Amino acid sequence: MTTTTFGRPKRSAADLLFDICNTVFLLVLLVLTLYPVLNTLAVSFNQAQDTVRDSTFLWPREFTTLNYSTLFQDGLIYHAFFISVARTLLGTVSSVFCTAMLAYTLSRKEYVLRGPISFIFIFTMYFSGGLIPTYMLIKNLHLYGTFWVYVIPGLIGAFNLIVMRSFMEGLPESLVESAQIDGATHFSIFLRIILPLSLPVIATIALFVAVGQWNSWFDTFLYNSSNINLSTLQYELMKKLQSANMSVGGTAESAFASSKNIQANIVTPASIRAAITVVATVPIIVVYPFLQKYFVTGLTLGGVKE
Amino acid sequence: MSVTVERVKEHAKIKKRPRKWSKLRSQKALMVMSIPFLVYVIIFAYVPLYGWMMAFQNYKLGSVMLENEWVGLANFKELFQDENFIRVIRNTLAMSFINLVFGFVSSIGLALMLNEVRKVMFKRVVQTVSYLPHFLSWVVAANLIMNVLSIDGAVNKLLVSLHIIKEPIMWLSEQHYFWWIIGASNVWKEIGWSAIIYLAAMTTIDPSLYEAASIDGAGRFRKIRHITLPGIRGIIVILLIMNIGHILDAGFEQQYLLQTPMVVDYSETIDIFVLKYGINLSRFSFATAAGIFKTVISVVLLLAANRMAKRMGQERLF
Amino acid sequence: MSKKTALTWIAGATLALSMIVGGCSTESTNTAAGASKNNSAEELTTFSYFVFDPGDNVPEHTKIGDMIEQKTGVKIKYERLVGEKEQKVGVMIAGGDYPDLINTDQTVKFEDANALIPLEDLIEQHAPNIKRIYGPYWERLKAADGHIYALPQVAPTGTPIKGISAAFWIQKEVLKDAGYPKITTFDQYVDVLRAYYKKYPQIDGADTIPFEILTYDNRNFTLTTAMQFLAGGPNDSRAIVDPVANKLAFYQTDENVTKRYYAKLHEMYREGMIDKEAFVMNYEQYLAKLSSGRVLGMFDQKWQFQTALDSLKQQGKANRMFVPLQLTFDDSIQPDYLDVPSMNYNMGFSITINAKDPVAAIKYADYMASEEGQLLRNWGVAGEDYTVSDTGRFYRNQEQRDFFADPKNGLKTTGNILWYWPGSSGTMADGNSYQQYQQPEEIAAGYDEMDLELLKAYGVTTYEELFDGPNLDRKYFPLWSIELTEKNKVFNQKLNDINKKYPPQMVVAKNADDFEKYWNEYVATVEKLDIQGWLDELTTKVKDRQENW
Repeated sequence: MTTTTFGRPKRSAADLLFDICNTVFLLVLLVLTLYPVLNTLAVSFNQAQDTVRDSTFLWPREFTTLNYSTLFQDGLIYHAFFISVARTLLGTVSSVFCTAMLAYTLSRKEYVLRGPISFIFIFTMYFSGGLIPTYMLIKNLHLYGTFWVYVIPGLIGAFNLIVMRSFMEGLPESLVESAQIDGATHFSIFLRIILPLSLPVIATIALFVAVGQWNSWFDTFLYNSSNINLSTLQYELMKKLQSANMSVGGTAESAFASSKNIQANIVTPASIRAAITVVATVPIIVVYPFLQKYFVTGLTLGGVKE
Repeated sequence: MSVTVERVKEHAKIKKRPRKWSKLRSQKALMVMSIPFLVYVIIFAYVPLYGWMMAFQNYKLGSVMLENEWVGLANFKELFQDENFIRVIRNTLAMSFINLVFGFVSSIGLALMLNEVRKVMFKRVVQTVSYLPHFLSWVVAANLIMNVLSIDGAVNKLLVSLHIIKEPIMWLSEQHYFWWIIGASNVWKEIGWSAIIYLAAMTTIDPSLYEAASIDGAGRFRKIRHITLPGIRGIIVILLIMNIGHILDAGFEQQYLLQTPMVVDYSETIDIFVLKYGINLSRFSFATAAGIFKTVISVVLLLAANRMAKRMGQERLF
Repeated sequence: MSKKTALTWIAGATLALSMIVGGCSTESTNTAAGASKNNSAEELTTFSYFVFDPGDNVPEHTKIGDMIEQKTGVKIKYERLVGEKEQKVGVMIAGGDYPDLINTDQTVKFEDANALIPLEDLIEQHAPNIKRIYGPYWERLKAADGHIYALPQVAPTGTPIKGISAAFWIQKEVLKDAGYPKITTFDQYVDVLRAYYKKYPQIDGADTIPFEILTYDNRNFTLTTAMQFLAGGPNDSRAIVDPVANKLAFYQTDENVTKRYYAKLHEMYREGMIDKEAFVMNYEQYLAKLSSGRVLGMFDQKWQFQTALDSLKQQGKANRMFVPLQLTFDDSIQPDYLDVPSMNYNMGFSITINAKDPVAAIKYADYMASEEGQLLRNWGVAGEDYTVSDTGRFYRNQEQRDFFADPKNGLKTTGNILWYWPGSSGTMADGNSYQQYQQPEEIAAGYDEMDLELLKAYGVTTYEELFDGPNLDRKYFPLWSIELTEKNKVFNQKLNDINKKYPPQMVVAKNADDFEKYWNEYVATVEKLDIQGWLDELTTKVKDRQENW
């Protein structure tokens, strides 16, 4: 598997020094990147008013689960969670499959439309027709107010396409040619040979797409905001955050009776934001190890038999 | 593996005979697999481009696009003649360039280092943790950064205790630090995430190459230089070209959240400018004109970068 | 093999899922269309109502909401804003997807798109309560074309309510330590802060911060408009209005106002009285500093630092909380801190062209504006949500206050949404306040011993009494609510940008010469803008308001 574990039993001094430096450096990076994560976790479990005075701590000072219970207080969020899972699964599978298929055709050097299609896709990365024309398009296509608006408009991203194409171009040309001679069609070559060989890049792109799908709330805002049945988790979380912002701003409605009692059950945007970050990130962390094995351990071409 | 390769080579020899009809059929199959997506991208990405007409109009919300007053290039003129325009472009280019260089070097570096780790568990942990900051919103990240950089923050405490500086420094009040703070915080937030793609690319490198190199007595650095880096060169070049096209997209959120009144001359990007004078004032025409300007620059740079890659015999986009 | 089966499995699961979801979405449209099936909703007229303010999802059933539904036979389906307001307005208008009713401050854009129906005839014919409440302001409600399209939330009625927002704030402990002196000028204020700072250079082990300034992003108005109050202006904008002579003075480059203030701040900064980090911290850091208890004073609007007050209270540092002062440059200037009771005209509740039964909609709104409706919305049910004293005064007893201190209970009772209907502010005929939170009994209930001691020392019973009433000559008030042309909106944005950059430089300038240099640069930059064009438009519009309102 990894490229360096085999070899001679003894290591040279230079090798050892390299490993030490490498480990030390990675440990420093580990600390630097772990700090914000622990801090966010601590803030999310800390009482909001206590966080206001100082937010640089790694362990909750005044433990509470209020920030979370505020997020989950209305039942809608569970349904929204289901929709988010559905769109992430469906969106990722369909996007990765379509992107890979198109990338395969574009990786074929003999394909006459290879250049023009690549060209047309690449340019989409650098322009946008703007919010309103896009919105009108979705309406006219009758995607407005449907679940499919989460899947179809993002089906193929130019960036992902090019990365996949570039990966597939690196695969040995001979594999495809020999299969062709055996009479395989392009579709079956793609399905049987290229797809399994591309698992590392597929895992990578799947991760990118899934994270994008999972974190997306803007399409819900534009196309399904009135349709509570198709609301997504991120959109509901966004509502909570803005609601917390609003009550700090102090509309008449939220100006509760001044009470001499400590208002321990009030949340602030900062604490809600921390809880939201945790809620939104945990599923990704749970799923990640399953994808990770494809690009950390890696696959070797030799291991796959056609 | 070697068996497969040999068999493939045999087949390759046989294949030399040109067969026109099979080629045509093969093209047809490829077309069936790709043309639906061509139609798709034209509908979803190119059709909304009619919105660009707005840039040449005085667009009123709720009106029919063609019925608006046509103003020619007035919106572009206003954009280019604004006294802040040059400053904003300078800042955008500077920060983009710093992000580009730092981002590439750091994430490739991390991927190389992770690739050299022998302990699988340690490798996995570092990799997982290092990509987590990507999931923090910039609001959360900016708060952390501002706390760390404050007078009694961690950075000042560390530097003072190491006697590198005598007095705490107000990092965010110094104009000339701002670009570098943006660059550094970007690296910190995205390094792990950006490294993923290179790690995936490294999995395709044939392990027998390393084996052979080891037998030849090559050290770690030589293996990195002569095997790993060439193995991922393709993806590096491709990403580089694509990113050069994004040079005017320095973003706005990060700068907006980290800027202070003391550094505004160095922090405002073109996106912030458009946000303030376009979208926030509901001036859709002005915002669209700025968008077109950015697209034109992007496309020019993209083509230039691609051409250069072609000249240098590297991988290229199209 | 495992890969292949995995792929098949994923494909199968995806297909199954897509069917479930597909079914789900068609189902949802069915239920939306045929909502009348369950319960006795056949007689219920339903309106969709979009409120352009963020907030929690409004529960399907709330205590007060259900009562009103029973009385009126009308059901309201609320939706609240999520995301950017401008974008939402943009796509709503572009697509013509209007709900039946909306509540927004972007009314003008909807008017321009012909999305709203005129309300004046509907009100005359079907809405006596609305007519009674809004009648006195009839002309002011009219849009440029002479029609009324929007009803602002609350119209002032009876005795106007005094509410303090913008003020120079000072720590209670500082006042107590100084023996509750009478402070009326900015110089006196600074002297009191300085004396305390000299006496206690540290609070709870951290350096005392005598004066704090919030300069983060658009919240920097606490730096750049504070001087208008010192010069006797109200919470207006960038000009001080003389309502009698109908004259506007742009004060941002005025040596006697703006320069005087910045020069004083510059002196204070050099003296170490202003937080060194005032110009490099963000909003949350500002709140953290206020919450630490070591900030002695600042200029701000109360809603911006309420969180810090809550935090101080929670930490048991009530003595470090802040008290408002109305300061001027000198005693010859009449302070004008309190807002003239007014409405945000041409904003609020509107009926769109998509509403099928506008008459039923205005009738419902009229019920909400009736005495019965307003009592239910603002106070709730007597004996349950509030108590009536022997003398007829409304208040909440401790149990009720504790109940409503939990936001969840507020949501269950009213859905936190019933405020968004036409109604009144001020006092009812019996002297009680329409709004619960404005009732003096409710305000006083929040005071602790230190407050009472302080108020007693100044011979008043509420903080509001420390302030002079608003200047009722200012019929136009507020200046910032005047809708400007695009050119002058750009002027405002440019001025904001200039104001973001220069004033901090003046304050932190190395010496008096540098200060002078930055001031001159600032003035020169501002004067490049078309100040006169901006003043002209405002002068015309103020004159118009003063004459017609």
